[in-house]
Amino acid sequence: MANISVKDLDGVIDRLEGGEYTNYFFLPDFEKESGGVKLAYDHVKCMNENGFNSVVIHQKEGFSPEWLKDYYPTDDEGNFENIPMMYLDSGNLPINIEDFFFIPEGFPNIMENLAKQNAPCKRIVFCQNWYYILNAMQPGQFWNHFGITDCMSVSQSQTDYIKMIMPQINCKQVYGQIPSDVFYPPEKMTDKKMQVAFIPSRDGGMKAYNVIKTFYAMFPHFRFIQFAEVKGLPRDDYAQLLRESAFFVHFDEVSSWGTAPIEAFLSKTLVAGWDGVGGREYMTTDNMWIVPNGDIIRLAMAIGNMIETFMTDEIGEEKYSAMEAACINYSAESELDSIITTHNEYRSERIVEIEKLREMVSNAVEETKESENGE
Amino acid sequence: MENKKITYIIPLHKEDEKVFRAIESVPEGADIIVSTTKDVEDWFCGKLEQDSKVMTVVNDKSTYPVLVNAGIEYSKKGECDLINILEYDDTILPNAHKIVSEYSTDWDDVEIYCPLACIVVEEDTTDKPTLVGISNEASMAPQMAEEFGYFDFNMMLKTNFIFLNGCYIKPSVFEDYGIIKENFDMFYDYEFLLRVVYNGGIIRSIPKATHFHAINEAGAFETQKALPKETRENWLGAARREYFFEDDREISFE
Repeated sequence: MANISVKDLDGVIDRLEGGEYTNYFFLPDFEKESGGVKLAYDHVKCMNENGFNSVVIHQKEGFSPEWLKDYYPTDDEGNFENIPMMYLDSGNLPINIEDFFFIPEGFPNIMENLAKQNAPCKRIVFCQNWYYILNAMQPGQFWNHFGITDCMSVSQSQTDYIKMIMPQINCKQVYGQIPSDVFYPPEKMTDKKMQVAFIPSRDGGMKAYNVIKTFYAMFPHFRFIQFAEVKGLPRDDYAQLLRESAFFVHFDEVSSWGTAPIEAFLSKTLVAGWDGVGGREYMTTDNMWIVPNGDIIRLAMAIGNMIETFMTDEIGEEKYSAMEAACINYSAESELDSIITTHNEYRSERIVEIEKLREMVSNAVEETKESENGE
Repeated sequence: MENKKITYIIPLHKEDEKVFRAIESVPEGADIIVSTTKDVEDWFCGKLEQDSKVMTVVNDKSTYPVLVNAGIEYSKKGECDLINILEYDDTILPNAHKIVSEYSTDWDDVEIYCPLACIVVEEDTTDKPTLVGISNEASMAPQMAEEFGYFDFNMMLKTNFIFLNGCYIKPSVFEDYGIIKENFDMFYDYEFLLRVVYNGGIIRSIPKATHFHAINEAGAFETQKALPKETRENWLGAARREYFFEDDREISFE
């Protein structure tokens, strides 16, 4: 950026105003299904469909997540429609000053490399899980050390956390969407089975199994209740399992915003569990049986209470209404609104930044001329 | 959704105040038939409020199947969608009719609906007694069946204590499959349900509770436990004897 001219910066502003810039989203090369990667792909697709040029960046040349082919249409060569891809290893990313580069919170190495290379673009953290922010960094290290001033967060409670640990970072919130054409209630509520669907906890399932064993020990008369583990199921099968189950237990202590409870709400499946911090923006006692994170005993008791309440038909309509209301923020419309608003704001803010830079360059040029004339 | 018209049959073989608690628990709009004996009739009718809509049928014998069958016979005088046999010391839960109406509307082909019973201890007289159990086979069996929720014949042969009490039965069931066998001292309800599924009747569980079943000396299970093991085994064998073939059994004449 050292030799940039006022004319160059005028061009940058023109291109930003005209939408002629690219949003790069770096994503890890995950071979296995990942909710975070899927959400980012949704984000990129939505942006491209709404006039924001966006590209997914993977590390290894030629990498493409096979598991995503169940979700997005592909062309004859297997490329995702509306989701162009590029690779860091190719070494020739055409990154310009008007472009944006989004980096997941768990990759400070990418943040550091871009800072070292003086990448001219605007760099923003796309934060999907508060838990990995500091885990991935050295003690005392923060994003501003890599020249990063902005973060795009997926939940309010996560944003609050970022403001607490890095008050200098500007956060904007975008919403992910849960497709209501995939997750929906059964035709008849009487189709629901006395079955508890669950995704194992992040510790390999140890805590989840401990809760289940505690539940059976506390409520032996509920031994007929089956727990159905969701592991490696294709999305449609998972949606079917949620739909047919009367209950879902959320065992995630460190969720970004917790997609599974929303999927359960859309399926009219009652939920008990931990909020994972990230879910605090929508998980309440009105829409679920919520207990403190990691509390095995209270979760086992909450599951028993939930089942008993269902069994005696004492679930009020207000519970289902609250579940429905919680889903509103995670619709396709909400996702689209938040994406368009956020990226328009980023563009406007970037224009202001470039204008300031232009002024600085212009002043510097004037000063140089004046000093030359003075000589 | 319209509430179904339900008739409750309460067999009463002895003087016990708990019957009035059972009557009181029956939701508005349902018919109640108390099937009792000559010995108990005066006591019961004397205690009954004058404007009570409870119907009474009186029998010579006091065995459970006789009292139940008399109630079923009497129920033909009225018109109802479902019949429920309510033990005199049990109580119906407030949402029972809503639950049963919802399930019987959605699962119209089913002939007997088998809801869960909340087992409570008799001494617990609070409005919401502490749950000590759920009727076990009624809840376990649907998981064991080939098609979830339905009571199939194979499963019925394995599980031998499914309560008839508390089930909601379409009146046509008694026309199509017969009534309770009065010569059975015990396992009459098991024999009846086996007979229904053996002949193609459809029994399905409702995964919700519609009544409290109190554990006390009046319960059939407690009565049976007091009898010698051999006697119990004989009656169980008798209940199964006629129905040991699976309905889809292939017969070879080679």
